[in-house]
Amino acid sequence: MNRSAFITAFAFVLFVIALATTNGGLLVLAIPFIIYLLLGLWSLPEKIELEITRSMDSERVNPNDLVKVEIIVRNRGAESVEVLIEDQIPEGVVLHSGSPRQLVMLPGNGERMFEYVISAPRGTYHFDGLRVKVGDALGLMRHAEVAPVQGQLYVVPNVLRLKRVSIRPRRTRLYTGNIPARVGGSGTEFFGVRNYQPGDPPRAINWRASARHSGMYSNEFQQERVTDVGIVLDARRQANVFAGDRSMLDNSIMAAAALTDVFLSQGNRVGMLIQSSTLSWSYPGYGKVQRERIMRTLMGAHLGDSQVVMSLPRLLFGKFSVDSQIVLVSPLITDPLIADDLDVVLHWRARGYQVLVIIPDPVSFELSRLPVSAEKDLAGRMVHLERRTALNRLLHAGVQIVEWNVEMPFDQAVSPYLSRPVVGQFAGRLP
Amino acid sequence: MTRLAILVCIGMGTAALSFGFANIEYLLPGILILILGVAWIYAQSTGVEWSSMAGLIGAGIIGSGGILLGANSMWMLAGILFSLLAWDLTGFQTRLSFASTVNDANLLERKHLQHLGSLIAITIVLYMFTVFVQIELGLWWLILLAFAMTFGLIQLLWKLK
Repeated sequence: MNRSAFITAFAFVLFVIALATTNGGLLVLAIPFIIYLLLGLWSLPEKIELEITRSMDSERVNPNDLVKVEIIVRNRGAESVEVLIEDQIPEGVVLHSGSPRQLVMLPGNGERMFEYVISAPRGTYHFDGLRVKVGDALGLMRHAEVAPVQGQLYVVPNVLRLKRVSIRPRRTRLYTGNIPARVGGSGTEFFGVRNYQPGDPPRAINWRASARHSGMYSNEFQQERVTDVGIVLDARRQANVFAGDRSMLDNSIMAAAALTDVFLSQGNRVGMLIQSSTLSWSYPGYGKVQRERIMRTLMGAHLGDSQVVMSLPRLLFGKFSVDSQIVLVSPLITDPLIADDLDVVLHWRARGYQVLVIIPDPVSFELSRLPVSAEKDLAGRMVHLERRTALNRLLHAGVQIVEWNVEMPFDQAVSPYLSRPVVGQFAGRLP
Repeated sequence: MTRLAILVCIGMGTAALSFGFANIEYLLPGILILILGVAWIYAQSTGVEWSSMAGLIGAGIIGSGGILLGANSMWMLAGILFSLLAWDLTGFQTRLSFASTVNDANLLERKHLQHLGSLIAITIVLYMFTVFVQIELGLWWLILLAFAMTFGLIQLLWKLK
């Protein structure tokens, strides 16, 4: 109940009873209430001029990093005011220390600063405004307003550093890079021997071949160029949620972020496709700007359900140039009754894409969250064998598969298997 | 400090009302008021939110009843005044819990207590004035006063809002 209305009503009732009973003593009882109201009115500041700023020590952080939020309130008026300031923390943000709600006494032309510490999971958080309540000294009247102090906090996924990812797409681009281009020229990797041509440097001459045959021969090296890499992140709910409501999406995002980083740092053109309830697409690009663009896309990635898009997308071909490298990060649904993921990957392969599949292992993920028992181990082995049998189809089609037990850090678990292309056998999983 | 002040105000308010009733030989109601005061203190110390409002309303009813039964208006006024202070300090204590620093809290507390001191002082002065100045008013004067009071209170409330 409004405090001033309560006191007014009290005084009024006493007054009416006094009149009704013609008893002057009751009028006396109304005195403190009326004085109280008048004192409240008297202590009300005439003009309120506040200036409020909010700053964070960093607006772009990793998940669960601590962020210090500092709020400064300045009183531009001459009178001192009692101000209750409440910062509206977005949903999902966790408060670690301090308080976003503070009552401060601001002298004329004075300022106060307070701070609190927050952290947040991956995502974008908008701080809309600060709720400010200014009132009289007795708290009878409160003037509430939302100060438009906008702010944003970007919580981007952690990027683990991978040393090198070896890929061999059929088609490369013109610029020099790290990907063997299957074309002779200057490079580091041996490509073949050809007839000596005037202008070849003496160190390129293959003396052994020249001695055996008539004429001179030169070694030819493989050109290394950049290529197009399309990273497909699977954010479908049915592919990522296991053990009740536990999701593997954050693991997949971590893997996608690390792969994006390494491919872009090698000079490649990288695009990102995220399949959730809809398809989110970051057009291929180079460099730091593209890295930031993809990180922002990953930041907003969330699990999605769609009855329309049950399987992985078949319509990649307008997005990624033909014969380029596709990297799929997905636990993969191997049950054809749920989704035809394997057929889709085979379809990509049939169209000429070089496909690398990073599989955050759902079996070990789910097993690690179940109570220990002999039946669990047996069931785990059966499911694992069943998946292996299904995934063999991909191996036979030349798809490179790297399984990742998410209990281990991504960089440590998969780096040895990504630094050299392993085709035709499973890689990454401990026996 | 505020917490202690609340308990003192409740104690003094109920004691004043009880004493006022005991003075006109209403001993049982006087004891009952003291018991209600103890209940209020208990509710206040256990954090029952509505206890201060209920206490103030109760003090108002008891004070009015005391006046109508012929109790000394000084004791009734004292009872209501201290109950009002207890109600005000309870709200202030809630606000004060949001104070960011000890300095701020002390400053706010000092300023608030100054206002409450003014309230007590003005009330005493006005009460003394009513004791010494006795005016007999006719019916029409009373009606006029009623209108003026109603208009004044509405204006005051409007201004505060």
